[in-house]
Amino acid sequence: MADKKPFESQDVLVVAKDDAIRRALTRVFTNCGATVYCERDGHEALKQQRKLRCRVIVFCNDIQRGGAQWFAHQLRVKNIADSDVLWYIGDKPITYMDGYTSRPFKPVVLVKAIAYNLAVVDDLKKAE
Amino acid sequence: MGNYQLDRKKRVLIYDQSERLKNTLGEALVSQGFSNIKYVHRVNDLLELWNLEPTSWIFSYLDDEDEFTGGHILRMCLELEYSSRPLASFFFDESQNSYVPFMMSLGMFSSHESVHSVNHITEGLEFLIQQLETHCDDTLVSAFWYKRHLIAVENYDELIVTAESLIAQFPNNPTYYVMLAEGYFLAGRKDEGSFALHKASGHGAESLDYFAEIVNTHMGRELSAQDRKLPINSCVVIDSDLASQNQIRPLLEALGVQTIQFFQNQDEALQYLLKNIDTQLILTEWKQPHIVGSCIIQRIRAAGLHATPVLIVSALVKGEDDVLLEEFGVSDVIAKPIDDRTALVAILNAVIQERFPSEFTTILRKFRLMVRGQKLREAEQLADVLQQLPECTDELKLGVLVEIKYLSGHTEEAYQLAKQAESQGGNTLYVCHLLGKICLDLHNYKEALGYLAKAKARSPLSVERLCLMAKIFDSMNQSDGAQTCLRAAKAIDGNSVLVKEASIELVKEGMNPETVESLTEDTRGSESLISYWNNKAIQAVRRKKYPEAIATYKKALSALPKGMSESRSYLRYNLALAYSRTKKLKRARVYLETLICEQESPVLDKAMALHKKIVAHITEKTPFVLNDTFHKTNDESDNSSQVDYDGIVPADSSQGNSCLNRIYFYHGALPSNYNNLLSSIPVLKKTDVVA
Repeated sequence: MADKKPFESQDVLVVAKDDAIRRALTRVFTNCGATVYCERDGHEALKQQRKLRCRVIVFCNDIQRGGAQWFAHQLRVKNIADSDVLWYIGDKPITYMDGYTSRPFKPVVLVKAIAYNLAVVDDLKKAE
Repeated sequence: MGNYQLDRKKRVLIYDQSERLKNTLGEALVSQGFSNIKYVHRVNDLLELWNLEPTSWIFSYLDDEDEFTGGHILRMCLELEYSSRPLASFFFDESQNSYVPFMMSLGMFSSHESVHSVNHITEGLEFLIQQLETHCDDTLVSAFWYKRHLIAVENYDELIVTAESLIAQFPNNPTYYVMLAEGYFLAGRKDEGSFALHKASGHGAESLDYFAEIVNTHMGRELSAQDRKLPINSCVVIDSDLASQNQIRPLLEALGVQTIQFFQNQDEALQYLLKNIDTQLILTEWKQPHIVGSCIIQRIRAAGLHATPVLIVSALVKGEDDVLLEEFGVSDVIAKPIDDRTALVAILNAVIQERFPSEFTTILRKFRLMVRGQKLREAEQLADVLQQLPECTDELKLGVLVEIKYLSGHTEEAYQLAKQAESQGGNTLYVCHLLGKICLDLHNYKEALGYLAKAKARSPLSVERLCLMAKIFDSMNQSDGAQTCLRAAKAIDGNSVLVKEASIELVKEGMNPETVESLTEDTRGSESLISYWNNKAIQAVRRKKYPEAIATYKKALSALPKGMSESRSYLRYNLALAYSRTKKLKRARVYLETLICEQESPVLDKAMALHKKIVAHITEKTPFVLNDTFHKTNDESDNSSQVDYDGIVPADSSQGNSCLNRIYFYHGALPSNYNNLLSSIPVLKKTDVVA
């Protein structure tokens, strides 16, 4: 039997303006078993997240409308459709985001970090 | 102690596989008048001889790489009655020096360098025998010898710990105060050294032939009145009244307190104390604008400051507060308006008694605080001292024993003893509270409630007790009772971490959202609650209750505000470590991977080292050992004992009946192969005939 893929049956929302980043992340997350949705700005991404309730959101630093700080604030302070993992692609940590990966990056490095954070969230939900 | 008789006619055993000691040690022993000397070089011979006739002294190498080590010999010694127990001396290579403290704590008499000559050994033996015959006290001679070793290896911190342990046991013996002073001076803590010499002088140290020389060497002058001042490094004063603060300041300055922190706001004070857990003294007003003293003192203790003396400076303490003051270990009350002289005496007495407890009430208070802080080793040491004091009544002795049994996890036995204590008239606040906790652990909820209610009637303002009762009502599905107790606790101190924790635990699935909101409104992301849980989990790790620790770390992590933070990294590392200790290595690895992926993790080095070990174990099946100092829970600042004494020291052996055994406990970590010393004693395989 084939090994279970790390994002099997998970929804991932990728928020990036750069087509190359969106394509690369879509390919790598799809290969890991996820269903990937893409948005090009923070406001649209928030609308989409309200509908989809994705467990993972990857937010890129090239977004100008509805930037990273605003987006994280909406999700995690205003508690609008929060995700389990909110990850940033950029060069510095963003308050309320679970982690960040500096550019340029290898997609596999990003996916690995997110997968482990997701596993931690799952473990915390399990009773001892 | 003080009655050791060395018998030169009794047999001396030399267990030496390489037979190197025959020509050196053997000759030295003969020159000292020992005639019955047996040499053995095989374990079986040793085990055979051991049972044949009593041994007065056994010499051996540590043999830490072998199946049968020096540790096993010490265990065999401890299993004998005191009257027939031999002295045990070992030869150590330089590389084995780290084992010496641990072996000392197991009752080793003396340690010697393994590179030696006849003259060298004869000199050492002569000294030991002369000291033994002069003082008739193996503890004293062993301590003296150990001091020489610690000074030679420049381990001054361990020297201070040893001396402090000995002073707790023998508060009137000046030798140990001098030993402490030497430790302080060598560690560069001159003020504390001078004070220790002053204390030694107060106990008649002038009669020791080396006292004057030590004073002269380390101080370069005679003792003077200024050495009577006990150095206090840090003090926190919580008082909203600036006039009072201004009155206290010169008093503390006169005492030489180096850092004095004044707080008008108790929350800021508690935040400071959480970050400065080594604060040496706390002075607080009993009634503040937004909080009463009963809450402050409970919050200080809940924050984990169990060893810090607390003095109340207030005119508002009433007679009915006394029970609570005693329950939470308040050292003294200084009445306002402050009389400088009385205040100075009270402060000095509190700090001195904290460092060198000699009065019965102080030792008892310290014991109860150690029990509250779940510090088993320290509590056991104090319990042993208490058992020997004439002021300690039989009921109290039984109560102390119950506390120790419960703390060491013997719940059933603790229950039986506690019932016995209760029936013998020890129906006190402490026995009732303890019986409540024991019954809760045994799931006798109704009985637990009964005892806690009795304790509550005696001391109604304990938030901890009310929260405990709320949890019991909740376990019995009596939500009204639970809510009533929680409301009562909230009325006393709504911001207490214990109330916040109880509130969260009362939340159930299917509960009315408004009730859930009212229960959890103050708890989300509460720093104090997360810090409390972290401390609680660390305590559970120390008691080896790993599932409890894991569950507590998880609670803390789940309550953290979302996003990256140092707290999250520390908690994740601690949780990974707790998982590793329960051999759930795959889960531990997941947490460590998240830390390694973080770009600025404060625990990156530790996480990587632990991760490497786990991966090596999973992929290459290398043994997974977690006992070096590196893998220590973060924030575990008080050097909790890393060495597992369980099963090595017979429970019924009393303090000091074998050199330093049960007086001094080694608190550090040992090299990874120390486990070898702790394995069970090999069984005699065949009966060889010994010539």
